[in-house]
Amino acid sequence: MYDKLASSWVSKFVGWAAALLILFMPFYVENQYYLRVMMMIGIFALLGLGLNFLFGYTGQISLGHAAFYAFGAYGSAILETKLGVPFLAAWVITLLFTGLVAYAMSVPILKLKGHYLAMATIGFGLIIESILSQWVSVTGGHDGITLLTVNILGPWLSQNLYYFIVGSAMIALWMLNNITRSSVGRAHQALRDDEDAAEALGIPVKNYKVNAFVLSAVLAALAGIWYVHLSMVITPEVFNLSVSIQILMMVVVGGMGSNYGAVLGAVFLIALPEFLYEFKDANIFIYGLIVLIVLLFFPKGLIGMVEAVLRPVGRLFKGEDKQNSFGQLEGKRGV
Amino acid sequence: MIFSKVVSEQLENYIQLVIAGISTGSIYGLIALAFLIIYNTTKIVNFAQGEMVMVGAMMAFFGIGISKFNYFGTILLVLAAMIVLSYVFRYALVAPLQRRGAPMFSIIIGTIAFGTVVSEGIGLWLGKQQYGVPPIIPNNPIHFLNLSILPQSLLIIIVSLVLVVAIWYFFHKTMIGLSLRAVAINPDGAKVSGINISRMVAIGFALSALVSGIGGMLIAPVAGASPYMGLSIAVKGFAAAILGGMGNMYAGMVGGLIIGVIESLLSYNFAAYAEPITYGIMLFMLFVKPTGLFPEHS
Repeated sequence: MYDKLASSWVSKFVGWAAALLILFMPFYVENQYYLRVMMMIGIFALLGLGLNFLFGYTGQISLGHAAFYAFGAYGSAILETKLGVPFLAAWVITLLFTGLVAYAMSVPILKLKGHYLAMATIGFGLIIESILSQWVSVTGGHDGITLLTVNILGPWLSQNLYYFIVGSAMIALWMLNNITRSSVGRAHQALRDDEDAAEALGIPVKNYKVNAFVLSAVLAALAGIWYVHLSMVITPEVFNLSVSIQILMMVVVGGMGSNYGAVLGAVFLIALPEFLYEFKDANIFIYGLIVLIVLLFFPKGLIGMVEAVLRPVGRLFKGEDKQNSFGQLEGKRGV
Repeated sequence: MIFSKVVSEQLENYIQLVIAGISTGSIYGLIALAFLIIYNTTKIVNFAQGEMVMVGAMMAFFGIGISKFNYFGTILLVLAAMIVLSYVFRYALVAPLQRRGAPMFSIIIGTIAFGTVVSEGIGLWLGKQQYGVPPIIPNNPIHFLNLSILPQSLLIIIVSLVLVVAIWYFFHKTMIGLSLRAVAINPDGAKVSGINISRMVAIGFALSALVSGIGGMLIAPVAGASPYMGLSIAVKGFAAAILGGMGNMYAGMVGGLIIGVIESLLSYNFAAYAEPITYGIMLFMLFVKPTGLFPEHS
């Protein structure tokens, strides 16, 4: 539905204006804390966008996504601090390595379906999690790794990390929007809805599943790289099973199968604790309840609600067209 | 002589480890059994199974530790809590999702979110730390030959085996159990034969919750009770279920025993990597033979 909204010139203008406003936020927002929240949203948006492409568009669940997030964070941190690799090379090596591991993993893991896939990804995530805490000589065990961003990136880059993080999240959003609107993206959705039918139509199901797995792993690794340079310290707890679950919940709350939904889910996940500061203890409890309510009553997630609000507005600008009533029928989305 | 003494000491050591492994393995087996009862009667994969075990353990702590009930009262409390939980699970989560015809992934995520809400809720109520729970029977080690066995381990093994046999008897010899299996195999056919499907599904859920609650009550004196114990214990249960075979309800117990013994032996030599190796076994099994060691026959 929102595809049609996006094609109208008003929403295009609004979209560009919003993107520029968010990207150049450091120019008019003094408060470092808000900028940090924005960077965390950017990091989780990358995680959510990647997982949404794998789960929302391609229909392959992953409950071990924090493992790839950890690959990015630990990979770049180990290369930069212990081996003294220059940061750009370290980032490229980390992303390539994660992609390779994901590719190697995808061959056996994507043969599995449904709950078998869910359990296999849980197992994978837990193995990586235990290695992070037990392989002390390399990962620092529970003490983790400390990394001084200023020493590695230099003063200018470490001051302007915001543009890297938020900018890359925006590029990822733009790229995934283009992919999912293209014929390849529609093929992914077709194989999500009915694998056999998609195969019969000549879609290379296996390749597309592997592509989605590798792309989402690489995006998660990128998020990990940004995370370690932002927080400057990483421990295994940041990448455990409950983080994988949170990433998945984020995609569900935002709206499965919508790129804007994944971003909205990230905003919600990061911003909600700020509003619930009074009930700090009950944070996750409330978040879990919200996930249940969304699952039970709003299967299209937050983005579904936003669309329902925006639809009349969009119609106002576009004038009456007959396609809309047809479009409403196909508004059904989700796995 | 000295040499043979060293050997026999080594052997005793290993026998001791195997017994400990069988004891924790029976718990994994119980969780696998609870998980497979729901899976084999309704095809729902319950990722909140670990949290059900957690509720059993935490209610045991609440009964004995806080309210100073006697053991009988505590057991009743745990069983009542499990039945209530199974009803909430069914009517607040599964039934609305199924009525809407939600895809399987939504149900998986729903059970995960349900588990999160339950564990966080219990954490808010009883506190988010680890509690010790006094054992049900006096815990002086029993000496047998040169081995010393904790009565609690023995209790765990006996109760688990009795439960498996009781569940088998229920599903194969009683009318309700047979009807439940009929619902699992062919819901429409069962309906035509005059079986009340809704009631049967409720019984299946309650049975699964009861088994996990008993598992939680048994493990609480050994491993303690904490609101966040569910997830790690559930994964062991899944591993046991997958190793045994998801289609065969009782194979989970065998899978649990295998995993428990392997884990116990490994933790003697490579304590740090005992857990990842267990998950590795699960992954290997999934990749090589997802139907498990004992494919379905029931």
